[in-house]
Amino acid sequence: MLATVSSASLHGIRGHAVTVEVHTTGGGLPSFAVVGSPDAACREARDRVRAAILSAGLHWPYEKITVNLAPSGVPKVGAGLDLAIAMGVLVADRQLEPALVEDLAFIAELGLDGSLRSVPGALPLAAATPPGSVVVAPPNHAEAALVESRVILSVPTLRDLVDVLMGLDGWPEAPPVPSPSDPGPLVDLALVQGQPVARRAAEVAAAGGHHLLLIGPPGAGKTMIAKAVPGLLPPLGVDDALEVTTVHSAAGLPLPPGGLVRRPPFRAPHHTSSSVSLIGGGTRQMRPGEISAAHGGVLFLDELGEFPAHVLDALRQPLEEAVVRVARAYGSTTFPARFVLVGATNPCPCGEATPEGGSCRCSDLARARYLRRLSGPLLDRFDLRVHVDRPSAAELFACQPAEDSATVARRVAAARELAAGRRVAVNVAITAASADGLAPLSDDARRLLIRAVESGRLSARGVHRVRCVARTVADLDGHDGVLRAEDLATALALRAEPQSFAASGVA
Amino acid sequence: MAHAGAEHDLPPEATLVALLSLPKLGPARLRRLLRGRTPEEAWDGILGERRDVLAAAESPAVASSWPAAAHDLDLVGLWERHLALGLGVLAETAPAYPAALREDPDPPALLLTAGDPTALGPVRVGIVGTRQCTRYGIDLAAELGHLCSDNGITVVSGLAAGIDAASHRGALVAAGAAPVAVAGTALDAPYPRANTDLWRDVAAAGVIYSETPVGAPTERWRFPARNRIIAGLSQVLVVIESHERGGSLYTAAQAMDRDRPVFAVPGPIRSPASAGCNRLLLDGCVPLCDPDDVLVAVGMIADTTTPVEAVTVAPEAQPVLHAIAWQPTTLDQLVLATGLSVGQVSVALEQLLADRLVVSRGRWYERSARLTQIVGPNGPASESRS
Repeated sequence: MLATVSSASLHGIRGHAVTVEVHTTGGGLPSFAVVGSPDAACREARDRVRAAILSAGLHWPYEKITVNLAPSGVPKVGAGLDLAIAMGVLVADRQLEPALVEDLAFIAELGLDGSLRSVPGALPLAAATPPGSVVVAPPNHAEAALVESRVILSVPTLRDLVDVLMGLDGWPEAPPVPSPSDPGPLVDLALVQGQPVARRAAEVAAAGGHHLLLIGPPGAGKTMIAKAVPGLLPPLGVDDALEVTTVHSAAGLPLPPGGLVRRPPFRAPHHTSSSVSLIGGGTRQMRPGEISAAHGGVLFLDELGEFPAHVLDALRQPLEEAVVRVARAYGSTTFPARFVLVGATNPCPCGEATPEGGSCRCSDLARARYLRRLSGPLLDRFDLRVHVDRPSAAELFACQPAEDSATVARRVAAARELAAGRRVAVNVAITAASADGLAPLSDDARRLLIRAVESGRLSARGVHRVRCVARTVADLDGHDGVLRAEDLATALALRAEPQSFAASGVA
Repeated sequence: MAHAGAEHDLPPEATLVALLSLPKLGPARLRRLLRGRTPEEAWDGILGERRDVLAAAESPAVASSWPAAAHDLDLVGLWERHLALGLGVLAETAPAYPAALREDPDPPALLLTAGDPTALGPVRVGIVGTRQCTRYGIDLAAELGHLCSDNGITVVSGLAAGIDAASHRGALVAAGAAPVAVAGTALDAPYPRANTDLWRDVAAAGVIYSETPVGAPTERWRFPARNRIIAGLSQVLVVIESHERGGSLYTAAQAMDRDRPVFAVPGPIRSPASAGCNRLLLDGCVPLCDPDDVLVAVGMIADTTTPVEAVTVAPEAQPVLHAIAWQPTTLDQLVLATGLSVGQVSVALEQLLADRLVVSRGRWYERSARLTQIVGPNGPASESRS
């Protein structure tokens, strides 16, 4: 007998519809084969499905069973097709009427005890199914329910599902969705004592989407400042939230209660991470990498100089285009990758340099080599580069509490509204062609820029980047018009030149 | 096969260059090698592995490395490389060999020169100091270099980063007496590389001496050896800034051995870059309290009518100028000390930088050592040697 059941499989962060065809025939030895480009997890479905059907107290047909996953040319990954295969076997064995599964799609992994288990990517998978209802495991319910055009149903076990389909029972209530509570920022900016320059830089980065490089010795608070940046960003809008949730869902990352990611994410991959884990890809299943997991939020690269050069090079295209294209022999896909990059680095291998030498014993050669890894095209992407020094005891124990994230986030939101009023999403995206219209200079500001260029502190490219940052600085002051000298001076002060990273700036 | 020069019509200097190219062969070993021997005899002795010649190494390991290195060395090629680079080669007998070194207790047997070997003037002041210096030291070294050159005094220094470079730069700007440098490295490879332009300028305006043949590696021991030549050439030595331990202190000791006056510039007792200088003062060196003191020390009467510039500081910039102590100060510290916003401090700093009252070095801001009278908008406010 033949049965067809609807399901879906992941390719990158997108789902694609899969038709599960099951054919049983009495002739020959009993066997069970899965064809149609299944991966290892998918092929193992036959053992799980048989055990689950027997555990559910149902009959297993001892016949020659062939499962085809159509379209057969597209690779299928993961265990999400288990339930659809089980339903196909039951229909083909005439334990269930074909009409009962006609308008349903099935997305769940099966346990040997017959229970339904959640799978990564429930959101894009549910969206890829044919119109109708989708049956998922209860833990996937909230996430799949974000797809408004489908009716999401969930039952805890295969036995329950069969009972419901045969009309012995009704569909159980959807599992209660915990009310989305705001967990608050990862690190509140109020915890960053002293550090006025770095605090200001974090605020500007959040408001203008500018990438931020923090340079300082170990223990100066670079990581803390980086972790405070996502808390300054406004919550994700509806479209962004859905896109970020899709990426996180496909990457198998834990989703917040309620399923929808509303907070800008914060990702901090270690410098030993492989370039595939950062950028995305894989041999068969195209998994989004860390830079896509940071989409809409902050990507923090600590010890930037320790990342392998090819990994940093691979970052350049996504930084430019806000998407990352990954191509493999099996096919290619794109992942969204629009994030604020926050980098942190020591000024030299030991990080202890002071103007008179300090306890730093790095040779000039070692320092130059360390900084060379940062210099060039990647460094150019950082509009904001600030030095972070260890705070003094007096700063650490200052009686005056510093501004908290909520206060700064309000300023950031207001600044972003000003930018939106000029039809610019974030100021980092101001093009050189539109700079004169969007970021006009006052006479004082122009003089300041000319002096910076003449003294060799600023390149032609740098001039434009400084203007974009100055626009953000002005926006944060609620100042929408011509850029003042103060805005330009702040932007220049927040852009340390590479030669200033090491201690001995003068030969 | 590298035999002593005679059959190739090479001058004796060529053999000296070859000897100095052998591993770990410095001034002391060369002196012992040449005791009672000509350079050619010493060279042939090394090639022939004669024990009495090799004994000059006073180290079996070093001595055993010499014959092989001598065999591998292309004597003619090495000499031609020096000629091709346009370098001068001065043996002790050469007319251009500095007379001051002839009487030196430890004279270099050979000096290589880039530039004009006759540039060395009759009155010479050595200006030395640490590579890891503060702005105070850089400004003072440049000012002193300028003052000396302007008054016809040859500035002798070591072309290292920091104080040495600043004193040469000051002398070059004054364009008075020609600058003289003694390098610790070979003359074909400026060291540090960042100062390549300075090497070129010093060689063009004056002369660079070196004891190190072309092709010899840059090694630690060559720098103290170089320092003794600086001490030997200087009638007066000024140590601008020095750490607790440093090559400048060695130069000072060498100058004292030669009974030359040594000035040390007093520095803040908290500044590690001045620890060595303050130690020299404790040991009895003369404190340099006025740059003109150097002129007095070499027998010139100082012209004390240095004009004082009047600089107006905007009222907004005054708290920032006051907050920049004589220690290097970061932007963070300035914002916290003044209570102003990052933007306000930045505007004030840009103004102070433009007026050259403040200089930036790396991420630090420092008061410059310009002699100025700072006036507010309402007239003279304070005079400072800032």
